[in-house]
Amino acid sequence: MSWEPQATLDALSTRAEVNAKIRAFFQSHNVIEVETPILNQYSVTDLHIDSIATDNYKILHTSPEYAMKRLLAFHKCDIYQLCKVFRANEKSSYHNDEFTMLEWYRVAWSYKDLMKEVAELVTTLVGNNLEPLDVTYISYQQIFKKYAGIDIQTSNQADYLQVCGDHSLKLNSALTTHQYQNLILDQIIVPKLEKRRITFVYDFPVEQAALAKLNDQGCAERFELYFGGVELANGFQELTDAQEQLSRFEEDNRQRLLVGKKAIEIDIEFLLALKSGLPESAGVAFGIDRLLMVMLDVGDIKSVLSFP
Amino acid sequence: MANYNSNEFRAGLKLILDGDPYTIIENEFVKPGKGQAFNRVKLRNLKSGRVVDRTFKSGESVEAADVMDTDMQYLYNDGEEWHFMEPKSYEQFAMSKDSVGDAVQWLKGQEDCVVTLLDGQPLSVAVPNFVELQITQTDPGVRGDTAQGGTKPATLETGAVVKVPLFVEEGEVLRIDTRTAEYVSRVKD
Repeated sequence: MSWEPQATLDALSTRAEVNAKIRAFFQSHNVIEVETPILNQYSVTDLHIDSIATDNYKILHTSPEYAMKRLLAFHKCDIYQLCKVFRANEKSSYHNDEFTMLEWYRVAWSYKDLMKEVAELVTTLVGNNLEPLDVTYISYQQIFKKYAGIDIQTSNQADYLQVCGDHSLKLNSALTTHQYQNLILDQIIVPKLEKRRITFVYDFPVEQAALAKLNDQGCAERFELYFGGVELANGFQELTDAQEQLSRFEEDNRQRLLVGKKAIEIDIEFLLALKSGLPESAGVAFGIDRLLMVMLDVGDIKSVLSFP
Repeated sequence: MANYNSNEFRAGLKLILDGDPYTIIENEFVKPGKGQAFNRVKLRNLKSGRVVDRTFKSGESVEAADVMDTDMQYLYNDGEEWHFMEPKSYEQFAMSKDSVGDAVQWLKGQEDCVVTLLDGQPLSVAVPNFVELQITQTDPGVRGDTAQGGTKPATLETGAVVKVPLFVEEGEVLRIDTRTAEYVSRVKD
């Protein structure tokens, strides 16, 4: 037992400085700060995200996405939120079950415009004038070609297994294409990226659309940001079609049942908001603790949390 | 048959993979923001001692190894098998030379060892960190060489050969560190 905090004073002040700069950034960009409930009646259906419930039948939010979109559907203006979110069973050097998320939405923007604003924010928070940060935009298909030598359009499971083998990743059991892609991106491609460069990966396979819109080329208009060797942010051209959203929730629940998880009660209030008309918008969720890890050059998320 | 879910993985946990018992040395949880989570695990094969890497899907279930570390006393070898006894129950266990492995060279009799049992059968044995053994053969040291800290080989009563300082003589009892097979000191009666 130790009562002492984990984070150094330097880590605490860097966090305070980052929070202040974020608020100044959005104030100067006319984006309104909002607060939505942490305790909610509904949760996410996402197959790979599990929420934490309290004993009075409320659920701690895993991201403020649904509530913020309800605000967006009603007020139709740019909003951001800086808040704690909670995810069950996530503990590692890059994960904590309670962490700080910055999430924001831009009405009438495209996800490509939003990537530029994310780069601008990262530069404001970590960059300096002497050493400006370089930015790369690369599609999901290109990044697999460039760093794993694999074409995701034509490759099959045997090809993915070969790539894993070439990088001494020995698997205990066979994976689906989608699972291979997750593993290869995270464990093979990302470690090869230049650490001091902001890298955006965009246009994901449809199976990884989550809450992103699909385009005519059969891609999900979704992006992820990598910096300092870690995934820092995930953004979407937001899905606005309530019917399509409902079928994705139902598909999530089918997948959950297949792997022995419980189906999640679908958030009807969120669906009603979409039905009433979510404006065309782009949104992004950004992990503040990981950004601090990169800024302070520490390898364990515990170093940036006061009491992990 | 008990199973472990990969969510329960931690260092020291013992599993069966491809029919062999393994212990987890390191477990790293990796998870993309919106994708499948994995456990990248380093394991040691309890039979061969070989270390391997394996990646598991999070949530995957793996057979648990019924492995128990038990304090036992080494009794004797009959030329084919090495015999150990659990001191409380007096139950005896016989191990083949292969299972005893490198421990063979330190066993004289009555050593307190730790025998690892898999499904009740001895799998491997760990000898004490320090043993005391008598020298059965070593060449006489040359006077005057002691200052240079030179060494010479000495054969011990178990057959093990270790490097000893030049001043050590045949018939003396030595304290040996079994982890490094190195001479520690002379033992005075």
